[in-house]
Amino acid sequence: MDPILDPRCLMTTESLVVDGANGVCHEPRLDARQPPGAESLLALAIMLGAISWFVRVGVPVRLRRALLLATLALAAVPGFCAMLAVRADAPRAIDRSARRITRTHDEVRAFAEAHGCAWIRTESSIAAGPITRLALAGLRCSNPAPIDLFADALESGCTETEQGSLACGTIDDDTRLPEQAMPPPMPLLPAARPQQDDEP
Amino acid sequence: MSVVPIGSALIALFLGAIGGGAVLFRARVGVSATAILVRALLGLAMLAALVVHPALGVALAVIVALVTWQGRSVPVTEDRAPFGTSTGLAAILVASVAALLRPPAPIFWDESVWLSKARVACEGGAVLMERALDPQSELVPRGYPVVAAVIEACLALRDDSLAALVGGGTALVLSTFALFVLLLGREAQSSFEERATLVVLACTPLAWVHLRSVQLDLPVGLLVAALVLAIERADAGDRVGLPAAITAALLLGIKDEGLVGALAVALALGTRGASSRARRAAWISFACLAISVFAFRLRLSLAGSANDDHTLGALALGALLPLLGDALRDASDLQTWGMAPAIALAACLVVVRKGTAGRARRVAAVLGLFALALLGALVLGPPQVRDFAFEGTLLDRMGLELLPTAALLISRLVPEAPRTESTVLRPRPDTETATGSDPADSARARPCGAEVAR
Repeated sequence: MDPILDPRCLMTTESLVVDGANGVCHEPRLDARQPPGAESLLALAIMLGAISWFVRVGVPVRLRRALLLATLALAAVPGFCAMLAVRADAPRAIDRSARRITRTHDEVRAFAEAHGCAWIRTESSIAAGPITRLALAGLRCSNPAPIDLFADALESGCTETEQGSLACGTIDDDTRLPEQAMPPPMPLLPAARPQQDDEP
Repeated sequence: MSVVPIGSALIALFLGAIGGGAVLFRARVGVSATAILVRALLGLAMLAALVVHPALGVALAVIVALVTWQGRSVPVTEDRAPFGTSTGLAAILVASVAALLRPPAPIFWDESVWLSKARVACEGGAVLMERALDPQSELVPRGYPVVAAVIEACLALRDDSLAALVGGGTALVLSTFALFVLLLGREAQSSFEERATLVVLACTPLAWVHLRSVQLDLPVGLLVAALVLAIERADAGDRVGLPAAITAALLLGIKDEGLVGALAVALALGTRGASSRARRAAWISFACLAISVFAFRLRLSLAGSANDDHTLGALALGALLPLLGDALRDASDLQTWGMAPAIALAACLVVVRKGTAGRARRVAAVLGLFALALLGALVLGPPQVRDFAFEGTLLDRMGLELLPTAALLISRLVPEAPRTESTVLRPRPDTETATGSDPADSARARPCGAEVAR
């Protein structure tokens, strides 16, 4: 399992960035290719009930309308609870998540503007990739400065090194920086994105 | 408490209304909230077309002006439609509060992807197109439409700060929601139908997640449903109908799925059994979008910057059943979807029985065709698209593109209320023509009467 995935309910900023728009609480990829579970049976039962609701005659219209709206509202309660109290973008947590993302953006943007532009040399953090690319968007130069995104990039912030690169997060023993000093021909195209990409 | 800044978006919408008003100079669409918003969004959509190619922008402006032209011989009738229904205005207010009360930072992955393009667009339309056409450019992901980027940059008044960009993106999402809600208020045949549609949307938690983001999946769904409503208004003789349909269609150019969504609407509402007015509105709006999309894709292809994700691959029939299984499992995730998909599926099954209203059947046809087209894109597309779907990042977002149309369908299958309620049925266009009355008058009589009752 990918270390940034949070099987409980998108409670970390990293899991929110990667999967927050693909589901309210569970990450679909965690149970991808698995057979439908109990929730699917409940949905099937509701669907059969809805069919009979649509075709049923003789029951007062107001009662049928109330039943429809009540079913919809009750079924939405678990999702709203997750959104309002559990996820990392719930009202009490969203400021913290946004601060970490904004800080990474601002630090990368300031570094890139100071050097004309920059490119991502190391991308150990999946979640920091998109906000870094946003920070680099629009900047072009002939000698881009390197940026290293380590696993805890969003959490630890960025610091400029003596070698003139920007290190976001803390380097671990397993990570070996490439010796390459210049970017490949297409430095800022989406790097390996093992889990997610944009639209189809 | 943090708030997304949206002041510049209001100025941009005002400027867009001037541009759109010039194109709709002789359309006589009135001064309702719908008409004002249609002018504003049409102006921004025209600007995006100008960025793709100046000739495209001019050609589309001429086409729209000609097809919406109301000659001097056409009597000017009073627009008796309300400025906006109370339900609709309340829904827009609630959605605006929910979307704006958050920190102005992109949270989700694709928010950053879309805003990257918008940031480049802030440098100017020519720079954006130059980089979109450059195969070596850093635009992420290359080959994708630029319409949203142009509009978001306009709504941010070309301020490329993070807060302004998020404000521009949020304004785009809210504008599409407002267009849908205002058209719904004009077309719904009862106040319950209008409210039920909004309740289905409101009871889908993932819709709120996307409303509070600058992702473009929910706007695509809202625009497809708005296109349905606009064509139905045009069918009823409402002069806002055709301009609104063209505007919704042009805005569907924000994502590639928009073209197949517009085609699904045109096939369902503009073919067998449709009136001449509905056919005209359906195919003119689709043609405007098709011209815009193909002009952009042609420029990309000529520059060698097309995106491989959007080419046809070998037919992968073996993936069909697993994809359907994944889609059903995702749709039954209670926390993400509530029960809207189950009820929508039931509505699709029920709609085939005898005696179902034609307007419900037409919406069901749109829903079915759009869903088939999206599924077809997965089965016929390149392998990496299916990989995205199996990894779980595509199907939920495609579901969101179907949700607003599904909400329309569910509300239209709600049983008729007793006649004591404020249901004022809209006469069929055929009847209007036969009696020789001004169709615009009879169409406007419904929302006016219904609004009084509300």
